[in-house]
Amino acid sequence: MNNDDIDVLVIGAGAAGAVVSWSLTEKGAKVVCLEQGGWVDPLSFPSLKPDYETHLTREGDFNLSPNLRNRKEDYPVTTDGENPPFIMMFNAVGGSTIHWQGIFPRFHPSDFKVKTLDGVADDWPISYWDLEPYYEFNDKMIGVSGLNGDPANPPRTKRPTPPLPLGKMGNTLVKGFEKLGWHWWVNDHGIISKQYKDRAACMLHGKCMFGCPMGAKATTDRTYWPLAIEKGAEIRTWSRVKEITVDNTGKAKGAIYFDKEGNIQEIKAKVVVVCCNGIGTPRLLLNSKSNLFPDGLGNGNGLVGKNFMVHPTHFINGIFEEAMDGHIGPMGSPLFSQEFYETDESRGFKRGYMLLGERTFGPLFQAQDIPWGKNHHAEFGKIFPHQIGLTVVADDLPEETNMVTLDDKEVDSNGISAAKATYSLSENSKQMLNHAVEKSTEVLMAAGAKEVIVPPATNLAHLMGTARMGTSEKNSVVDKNNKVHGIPNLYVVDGSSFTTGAGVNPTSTIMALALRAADKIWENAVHGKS
Amino acid sequence: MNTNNWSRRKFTKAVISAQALLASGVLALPLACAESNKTESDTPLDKLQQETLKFAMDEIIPANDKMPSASETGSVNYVLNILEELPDLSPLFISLTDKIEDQSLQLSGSAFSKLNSERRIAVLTTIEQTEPGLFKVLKDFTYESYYTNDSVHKLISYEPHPTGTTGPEMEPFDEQLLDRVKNIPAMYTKI
Ligand SMILES: Cc1cc2nc3c(=O)[nH]c(=O)nc-3n(C[C@H](O)[C@H](O)[C@H](O)COP(=O)(O)OP(=O)(O)OC[C@H]3O[C@@H](n4cnc5c(N)ncnc54)[C@H](O)[C@@H]3O)c2cc1C
Ligand code: SF4
Repeated sequence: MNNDDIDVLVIGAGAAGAVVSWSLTEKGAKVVCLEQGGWVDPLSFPSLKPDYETHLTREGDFNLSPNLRNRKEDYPVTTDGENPPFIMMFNAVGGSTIHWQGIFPRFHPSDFKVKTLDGVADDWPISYWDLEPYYEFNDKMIGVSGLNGDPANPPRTKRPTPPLPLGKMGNTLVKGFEKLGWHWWVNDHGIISKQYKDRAACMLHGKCMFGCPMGAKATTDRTYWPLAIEKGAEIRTWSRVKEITVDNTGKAKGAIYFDKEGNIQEIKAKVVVVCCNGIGTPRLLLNSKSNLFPDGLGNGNGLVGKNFMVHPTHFINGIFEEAMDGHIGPMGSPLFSQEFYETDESRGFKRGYMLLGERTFGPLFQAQDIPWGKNHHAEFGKIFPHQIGLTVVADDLPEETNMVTLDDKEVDSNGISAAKATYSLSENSKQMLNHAVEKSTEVLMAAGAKEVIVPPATNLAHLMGTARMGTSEKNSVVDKNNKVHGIPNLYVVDGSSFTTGAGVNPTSTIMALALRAADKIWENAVHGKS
Repeated sequence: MNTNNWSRRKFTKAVISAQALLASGVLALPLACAESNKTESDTPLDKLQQETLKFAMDEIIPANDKMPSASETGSVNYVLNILEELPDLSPLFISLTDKIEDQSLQLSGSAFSKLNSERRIAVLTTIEQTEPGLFKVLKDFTYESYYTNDSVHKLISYEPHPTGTTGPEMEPFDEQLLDRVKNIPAMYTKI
């Protein structure tokens, strides 16, 4: 595409970037997307080899953390705070969906109104019902598997493909939930259980985080991108954006980026949309300093990078006498419980959490904490294959002290300042996690566990809140249509724009928001202006 | 020419060929590291260093009545193959074996391989405490070689089901399991 013709410049080709690029191209906009990584060859996926687990434990090419992967297209993310987060993301066409598990829950209506309902954080300027048609549309685009009728969530249409199997571990957890009379349901998944469009059905290998060459897992390089490209969108891979440029009236002009050879290039567009995720987006905005915006773009109120949320978690394991084969089946989560999701003041904290029944990796991963030496085999035999995992997804409320800033020492392979993520658990989160440990233990015991192991709290790969959406220019970076305050043609569309984190995995909401934002960009900034 | 269109075409071709190969089940790639045999002359660790490594790995994962020791599953060869692929790691393994021998001399005045198991464990425990980074190299690579080994997988009844093969059989979801939950009144806050 000729550089002078571009309507919309999208930066980042992950979950959000793919959706925005497809939707706007479909409507008739000329879209170019700059992505710092490349296309990932499905024949290079570690999941094809029996030793796939070495990529979890060893530094190098497919590790979940960019800091341990160190590919040229990765940028370092240093960490700080009382609970420095473990950073996970992938940088390529498809973004972090290359690694993701496809667990696809939605926010609850209450998640959008936590200030009104619970007096904490802030309300979103939009409601669940604003997003609901986009959730539905996206589910059909990617072929979500699951079952409608869950009483813990508002009604939704019949899922495009049926639920994935529960397996021995899932069925055992069901016994626990049934015994206690608690809520549980099969998860919605961005993994198709039957052939859907031109993608093959899931074959249940369980190596999903190490790449799904079948295309059963909805990575956006296999779902939205082929459609966007067919309609005329262009992706420029190996193109790392250094800064977003502005004209002398304060409008976004385009971007300056490094191409594959490391040469500086400039691109101009009528509208710029940033989709670099909850760390990459504030990093880029903060790196885009100019005379008009000396503290970075959209940062007039100092909120860019603040309110970083990651979903605190515990990976809790029940050890059973019988074999549970927790490593068999898709590496998403067969079922979940939202028994403790909505606020109940008597629990001692606001908001709540979801419990995900979680499959385990294979023997190499499970051996990591087994002592070496004479008792090794006996100890290993106790846990393998006898474990069932429960993962807590705790509602992460925004705190200004949790933040993404620029690192003052580290740089990426193009010399651009790296990001630094600072995170400490709030008192509310600590109370919530304690409650979740107690309840997880109860349900695992009810399911027949003889022992429950609770490793220290950690975090999930969910990067949110750092360019938050808000009801006023004072409390936020973007408005209800994802437009950056004060800059008429700059949008932020990814998990950065979350006002609160809710207690569910974020990507169905990121994608629904991206579809909605694309409609607004078309109406207000592209079509409306043409 | 826009090289990215080329990449995209290459990607599409790769997707099609991946799906075809996967359907035929021929993509179960063997574990190169565990398979080949090295002669002493073409390896980055000499015979003594290999012996030190073998005895150390066998203390990390010893044999019992059902399971082989690490070296019985080819753990030393596994490391030698990795060093061939990643020669930058060689100095690390040389430091490791040197450290084990130094410690052995200090604690017992003898080569590591000549010690009894109890003394060898004492040497390794000291290194674990004084040089945890170096010890981690030994432990991680021993575990890695062991738990990616085909014969160990068979003994622990683990089928890796790589994505190039057909996956496991699983019963489809039985919706009747949800009969009780379906009758719970709406639990979410209506707003
Ligand atoms: C291991 C793992 C498991 C996960 N499992 C789940 C799950 O089960 N359910 C769920 O909901 N979520 C899951 N997630 C999270 C999910 O992947 C993310 O929420 C989602 O991909 C975020 O979409 P995004 O578009 O905001 O960012 P990303 O998908 O991360 O894409 C951002 C893209 O921007 C590019 N970029 C960044 N900076 C620049 C720059 N300066 N110039 C050019 N390009 C740039 C990056 O290279 C990247 O490709 C998981 C994540 C991981 C890592
Ligand atoms: S289990 Fe399903 S989603 Fe996972 S890698 Fe295999 S085919 Fe893909």
